[in-house]
Amino acid sequence: MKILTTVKKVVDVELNIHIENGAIIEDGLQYVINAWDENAVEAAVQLKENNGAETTLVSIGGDDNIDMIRKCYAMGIENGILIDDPSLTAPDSAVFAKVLQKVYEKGDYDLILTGKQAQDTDSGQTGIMLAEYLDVPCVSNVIAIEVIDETKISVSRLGDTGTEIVELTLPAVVTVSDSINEPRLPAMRGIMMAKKKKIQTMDLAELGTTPDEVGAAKSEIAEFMKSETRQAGQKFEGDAAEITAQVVALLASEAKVF
Amino acid sequence: MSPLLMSALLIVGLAVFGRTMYFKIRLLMALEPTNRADHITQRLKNMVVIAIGQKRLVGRKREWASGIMHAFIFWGFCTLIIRSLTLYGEGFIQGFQLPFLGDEFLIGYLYVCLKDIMEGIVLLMVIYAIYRRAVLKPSRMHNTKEAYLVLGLIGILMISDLLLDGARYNLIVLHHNPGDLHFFNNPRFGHEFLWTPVSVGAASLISGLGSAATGYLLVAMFWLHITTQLIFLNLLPTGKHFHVITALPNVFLKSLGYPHERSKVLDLEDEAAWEDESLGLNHIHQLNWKQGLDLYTCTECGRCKEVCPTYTTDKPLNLLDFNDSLKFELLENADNLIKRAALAATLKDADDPEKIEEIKAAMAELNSKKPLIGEVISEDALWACTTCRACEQVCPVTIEHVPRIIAMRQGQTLMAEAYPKELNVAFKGLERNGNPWGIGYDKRADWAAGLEVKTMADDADVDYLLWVGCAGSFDDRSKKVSVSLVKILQKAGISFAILGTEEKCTGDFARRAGNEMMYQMVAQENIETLNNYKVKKIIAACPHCLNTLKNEYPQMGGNYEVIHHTQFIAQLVSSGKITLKNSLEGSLTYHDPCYLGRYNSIYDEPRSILQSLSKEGLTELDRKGQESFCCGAGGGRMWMEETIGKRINLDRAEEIADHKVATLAVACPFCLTMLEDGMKELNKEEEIRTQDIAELVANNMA
Amino acid sequence: MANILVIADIKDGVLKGSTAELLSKAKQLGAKTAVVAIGSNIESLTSELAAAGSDTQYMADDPSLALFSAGPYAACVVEAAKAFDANMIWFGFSETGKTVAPRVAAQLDAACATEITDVTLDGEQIQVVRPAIAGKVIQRIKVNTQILVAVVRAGAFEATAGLTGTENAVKLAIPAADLRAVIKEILSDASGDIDLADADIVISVGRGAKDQAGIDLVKGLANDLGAGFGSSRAMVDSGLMAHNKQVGQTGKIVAPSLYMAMGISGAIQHLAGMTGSKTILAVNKDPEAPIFNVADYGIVGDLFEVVPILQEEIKKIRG
Repeated sequence: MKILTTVKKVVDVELNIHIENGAIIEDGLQYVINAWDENAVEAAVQLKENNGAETTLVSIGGDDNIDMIRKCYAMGIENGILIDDPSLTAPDSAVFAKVLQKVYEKGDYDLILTGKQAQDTDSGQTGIMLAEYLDVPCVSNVIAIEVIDETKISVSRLGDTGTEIVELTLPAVVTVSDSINEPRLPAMRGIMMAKKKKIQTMDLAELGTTPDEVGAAKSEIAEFMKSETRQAGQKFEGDAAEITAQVVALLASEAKVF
Repeated sequence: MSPLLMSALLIVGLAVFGRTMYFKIRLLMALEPTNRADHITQRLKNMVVIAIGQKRLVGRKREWASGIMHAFIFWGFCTLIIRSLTLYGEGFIQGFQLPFLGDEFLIGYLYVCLKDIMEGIVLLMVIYAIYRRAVLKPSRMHNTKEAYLVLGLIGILMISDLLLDGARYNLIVLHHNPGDLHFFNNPRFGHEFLWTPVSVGAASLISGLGSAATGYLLVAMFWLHITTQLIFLNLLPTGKHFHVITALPNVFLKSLGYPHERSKVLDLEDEAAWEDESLGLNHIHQLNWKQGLDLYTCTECGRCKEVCPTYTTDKPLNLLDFNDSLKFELLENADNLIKRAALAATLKDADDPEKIEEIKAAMAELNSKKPLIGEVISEDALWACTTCRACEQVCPVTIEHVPRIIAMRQGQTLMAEAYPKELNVAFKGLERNGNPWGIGYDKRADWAAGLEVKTMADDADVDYLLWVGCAGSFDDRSKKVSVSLVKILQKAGISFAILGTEEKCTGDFARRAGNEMMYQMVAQENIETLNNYKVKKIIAACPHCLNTLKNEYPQMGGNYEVIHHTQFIAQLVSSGKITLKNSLEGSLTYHDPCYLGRYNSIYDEPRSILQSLSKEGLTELDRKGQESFCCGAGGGRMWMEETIGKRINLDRAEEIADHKVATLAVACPFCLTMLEDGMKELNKEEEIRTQDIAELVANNMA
Repeated sequence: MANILVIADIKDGVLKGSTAELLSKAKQLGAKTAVVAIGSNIESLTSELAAAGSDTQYMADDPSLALFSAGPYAACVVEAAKAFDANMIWFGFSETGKTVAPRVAAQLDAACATEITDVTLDGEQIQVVRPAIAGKVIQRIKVNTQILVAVVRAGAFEATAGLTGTENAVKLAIPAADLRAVIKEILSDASGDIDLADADIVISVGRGAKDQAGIDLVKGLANDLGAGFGSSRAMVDSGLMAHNKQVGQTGKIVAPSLYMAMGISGAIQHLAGMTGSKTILAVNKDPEAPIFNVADYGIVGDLFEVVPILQEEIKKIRG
């Protein structure tokens, strides 16, 4: 089985994000692998270890994606593709999906694993759109993958009514939830060997497509704004009976909940 | 007596002994090198105080009686060496005397007296020892046949010599010396037997025997003594009594400066090391010779187990067995290791590259393939250790247990990738944001908001760098300690700054968990930052930070004067920059942090501060100072769940709660967290307030 | 005037509140409204769908659509969108919505935005507002296509009282099943418990409840109030609460009128799941717990003591 995993570099969400004049201040920010894509990488590596799958990752970006790709190598991914093209400045999910479609068509993959959403956009669209472009089935928010045979896999998905067990015919796209696994720390030995591994870098032309074919972004970010943080309200300490009665009274009179 | 027999016995006995020792030494020489040839004077001093002086036995309040017991057996042995030489001489020449110890010299008489009394004392101590083993049965001891055998042999040695002299006395005094035996009779000092009451006592026990029988008894006792001695000598290298020979050298060769061998800064780029799995301690052949000597020297006394916080809370780390298992493994591989060393010696002369490859391959073949972890030492045992050093502190023969554990962890983390995966969260956090919680590095200085604390970026021209540490920066409870410390420094008008968001975890927990890669990464970055700012003096509020900055960063080019905040506060008090009010109400006790006390020998300054603060004075815990009981968070255990046995922090909290104090003073953020949690679990967090010394000082300053 | 198509949120044959909320917003924008309802045996919902504020109801009612299947569902929506000539297609916040919306957008070559909290229509220019970077920032997005497919954040829009519509049912062609992705089994989430997403009041337990006894105690309060019963991650991780009860960044995001956090410290991951609530009440032993930074009303105390008192006081007020 040949697996293609997509990894995106995103801003470290642990950091404070400062906004000035509608834009994010880059100074002091650091970028890391999208946590959900890390789950996808781990899932791919596990399929390699347990089912002998062949693993490839693809990332869209520039030179500063290389560290991230090497970390994935250290986790166990065997091949890496970096798509670096000047026209891809402000891609939206559809643009990413189109590029990924071309990457897919250049290779011969059975399963595409991607994180269910990216930590910077929280959109959750790319994987599903990719499936639509490729006209392959897709299941999202997956928490377990089981290989049935060369053509079929069974996945567990967190749906609205419960956990759905879905049988998927390959090729297919699967977007994973963080509940699927605990990504391993890149192994020391792996990190050493990853330093020497090659990364296949391509621009759109080498990929066999053009900026026109990929298309322009269908929407753009006009402005960033600070999100309103909730403020602390009233805090009551003291005799449990007294303060609880007080609060309930306020819930009724002030908050009008009861 | 009989020169022929004496020669035969000596030749055989010593030859066998020599051969055994030769192989034992060759085995050590076949292990990895380490340098212990420095600071001879300091080493001699250690040997005199710890080994000869038996400091850790006699100087220890706990088990003082058994300490005295062993000390006298040992001192007895030392004194009786001279006696033995005299006896060997007697085997050849009747009436043989060592120079200066004959009856013309007072020393001779004094020695004879000393020898006599010592033999009596040793015999009594041996009887006491057998009684302890057989009747009192202290749990730390392994009651083996070997133990009783050795005690028995020592008993026989004492008894035989006393009866020998007793028989002599009877023959000389009672039977008017028919064989013309030599004895001291200097007119100035008197009859020999005036100086040897114990022998005289022994003599009276056998006074019933006739002259001929006494004569036979004397000869029998003589040869019994000699033979027993030579048998005993040859028994020593085969078991735990090897320490009789190796203890003095082992103490002489113990680590100086830092309490145990520092972890090596591994060269992670060295591919050969990855290939032959020599990163960390993975196989027995990777021990160094001092570690081999440690294994020879383990007396199997079990004191290490007794003070180990993990063993006493039912975790599988049994240090006595640890030593024993490794020793067994080492001896199993002795032949191969010695052969390998012989091959290594031929490498020097080989110049043909093919020949060199051949030799190297042959050497690799002789390496031990058996992985230490899993097959010799269990994983649970390895990871249970909190690196508190209680074992090393109490060991009478200064065995260094902890570095082996850390080296094994290095192997597990780097090579086998078999380490507790719960550490991943902490490792990831360390890598990304420089702290084990993984909280954004940009928030590291938030705790200081509004306190008017400078950062080095603002102004690096300050006297001191205040190293806050991860807990002090991010943990809500510990932040209060940082705030208190700032209050104190500002009150005293000290010129200081913090690194703020440029500070990263010192890497202590990563190193103790064997993750050299992570450690080197953060250490490198910190050292660069510190050196760029030309930092000279650092005040650290966390003993783990203190220890790493002070004792380990120099290995990688970071040399700074590092002082713990309690030491600094003590200095401020003594120089009058701050004044302490004697206003702390209620009873107070202090928990010595492992990394402040046992690692850096800082016991007094915290106490002097607390004494000044407390109205009621300071109550000491039983397990205090050098024998303080770990809070359980060291060795990376803070970031792991404790699933086996009783919780260590609970054990300590119970001990403290028994003293019914109002305040528990601590000097480490780990201890603060663990002990406060312990008090919460005992529902005593209102009754007993856990506070850092900085907080107590800040609240009780004039 | 825009045409806004809302996908009806139907669960177990019941029409959920989000449909009315979305339709209210659509009407506020002055748009023509329609809904598309997909499922089995949903014919009877037509009048309800109209009453919720839709002027046309596109119905795809077939046994083959009983279980969710992305391909067929997307096909139905696309058919309805084309028939309605929709400018905007809105899904309520659900796994279904999140899964189908991107497909619809891809098929219609339209822009797609998820978790939107506001929409503006300026002539032909559509703009949406949505959170990003784990809710730390808000993005204002300009849509460059004629059509926008959106998934609306829970509780973002409010239902207007007294909204009406017109009953005008249109049957959609039933698409072929997608045999490449077949649901074999659904392990359903408990127990007839109240859906957290719909509940007007949600009460969650955290570590402070300690064990089953604590959980049962708080559940009692939830039962009294007919509230949804949720959990912090800690209690799910320890196995005491089911996975689907987790409120938080990686669990359910709720925005009820009243959220009660019982024995929850208030880690960022949890806050991300409930700060959209109208009123937050927190009970925690630790006065420094971060939950108090977002709670409108905070009680510092042991929930074992406070919960029974709450039950009593609330009974007194509600009768």
